[in-house]
Amino acid sequence: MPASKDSHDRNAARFAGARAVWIVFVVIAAATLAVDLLIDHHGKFGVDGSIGFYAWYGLLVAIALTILSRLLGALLARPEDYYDR
Amino acid sequence: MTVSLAGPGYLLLPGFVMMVCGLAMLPLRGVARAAMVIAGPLVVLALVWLLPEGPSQPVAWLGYQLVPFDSDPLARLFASAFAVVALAAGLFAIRQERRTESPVAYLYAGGAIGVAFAADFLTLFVFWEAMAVLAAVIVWMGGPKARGAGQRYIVIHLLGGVLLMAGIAGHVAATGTVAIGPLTLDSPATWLILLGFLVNVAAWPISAWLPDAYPAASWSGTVFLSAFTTKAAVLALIRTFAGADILVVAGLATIVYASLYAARESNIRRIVAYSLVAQLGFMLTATGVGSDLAINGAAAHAVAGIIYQALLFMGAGAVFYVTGKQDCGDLGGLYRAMPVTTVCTLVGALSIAAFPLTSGYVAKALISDSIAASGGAVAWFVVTAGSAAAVLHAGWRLPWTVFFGRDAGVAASDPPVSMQWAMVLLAVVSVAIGLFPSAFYSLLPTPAGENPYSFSHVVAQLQLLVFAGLGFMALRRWLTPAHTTTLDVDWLWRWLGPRVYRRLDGGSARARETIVQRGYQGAERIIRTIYRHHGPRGVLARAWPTGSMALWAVFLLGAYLVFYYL
Repeated sequence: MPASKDSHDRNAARFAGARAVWIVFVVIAAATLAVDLLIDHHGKFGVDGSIGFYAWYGLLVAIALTILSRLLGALLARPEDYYDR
Repeated sequence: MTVSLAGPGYLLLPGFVMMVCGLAMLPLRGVARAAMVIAGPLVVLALVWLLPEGPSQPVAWLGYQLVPFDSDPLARLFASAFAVVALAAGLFAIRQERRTESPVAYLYAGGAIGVAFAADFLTLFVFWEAMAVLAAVIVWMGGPKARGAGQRYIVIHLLGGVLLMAGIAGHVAATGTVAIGPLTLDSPATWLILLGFLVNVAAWPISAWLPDAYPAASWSGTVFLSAFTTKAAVLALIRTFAGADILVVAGLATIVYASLYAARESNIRRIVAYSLVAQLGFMLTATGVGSDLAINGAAAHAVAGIIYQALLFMGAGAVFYVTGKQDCGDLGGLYRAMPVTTVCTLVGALSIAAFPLTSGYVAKALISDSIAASGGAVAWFVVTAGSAAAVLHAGWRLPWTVFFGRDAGVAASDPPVSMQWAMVLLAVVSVAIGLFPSAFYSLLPTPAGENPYSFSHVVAQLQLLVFAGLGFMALRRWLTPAHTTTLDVDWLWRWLGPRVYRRLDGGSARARETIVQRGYQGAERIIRTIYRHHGPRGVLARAWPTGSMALWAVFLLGAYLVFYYL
């Protein structure tokens, strides 16, 4: 494990562009939503033709994956050396 | 220039040439070896494209017509990808201290190329089994900790080989032909062939061997392993079971399973292994859909996957090589020390997440479109979710945490130049495929003028990835990777099996002991009885007085007289 540092040092050592990356992320997200209004949607299965479908579906996947992976952990997680005992 | 394949021309089989390169590399050192590492795959690549299209002269063997070489677009595409990745991985492995690893890996690559061109089941089987054994050797070269994983790998793959051989035997007995062609699942034999293929393609529930074995290999061995076995099996499935509905079910289950397990993992090479399995799910699903567009998608995704998965394993392997660590909790902020590795791994991660302008995007667009065209709603929603999930395991954990996350204070620098070149090569190929999709599509089995970069497609994909990323960001405190083992199907043979065996073994040992003890007691009793009569103090061993002898003689003679007169 790395030597523990105080929180000030850790923040200083963070990737300087992290904030910029997140800003870019939010800008792209907003831009895609704005452009989405201009696109003529023709979904194959109904729902996927709705405005902003990929946005809410992406969020839904994030939520579902988080819940399911927690559930998986609760049911099937064992100590790291489980097979070596 | 065309080269005819008949008689001695068979020495030019691309798979065979690749194997010869591997053997020739064994004694070589230094520059000579580096030259062989680069020249070998290039020669093979040239052969792949120069040898004439169509089947070679059949070879009669035990009454079967074997066709070890049949060049079609599918075979050439896969074989080219195998050769390119062998070159890159060979370059990456030049610093490997275990000098037999790369030669064995080139033999293994030759097996994969042999499978790609094989047009009969017997040739396929020979190359198939060679791959199983050679891959296990590569796993074993990972060091003492890899022993168990290598054993499990070889047992599972030999078992898969037995299923495959049994299926082939049944199929040949029923149809009289060994030629590889579309099969229908209407007999036990074809089911066995399918099962044999599914073992190698790591379809759930027979997938646990992959995340078990691959990360156990050395930092360079994993790169070789990632490319060949699974993709050769995808090719075999495309040739035999395209359109089989069960492949869609297996593919979707594999995507969900691998995405969930990847989300819990903290070891970077295991994360990449799980995301590799998830990508195999996409290929299986597309093969199961089976339309021309879907087969194009499966082939394109396999080739793109061969490249970017090897690239990701190189990135993870380079970090492991330099720092000796592979847990993302121990790593962070490496972008400053390892700029080349950072950029190349990012390209791999963007590719696996199917970000526009990368190979993954170009390939997944075909799969997504083909599923939409087939009308499979469930399949389409699961596949789309799988693309979004890739943002977490392949985008965030590996590149973000390791390279941009909190600086963990680990001393590091970019790896040696040969390793950097290997990564740059594959990164360039990934981006080139993304930039020139029409050139890439023209290599596919049924060339079609698809345009993946329609405005709505690009916006949709960007939106999906960015919003999934924001979602994971918001939920990150519930997504901290755990330092645990998440039980997989391999629990059956890693935990339950040994315990059941030990218990049975213990029971039978006790039974054996009882039987042996009873036997000893019985034998002892018999010996004691014999001893009592025949021993030195036994009745029969005593000295008898002469008087009693005379008395007995008189008694016997008297008895004789009496009997005479009667």
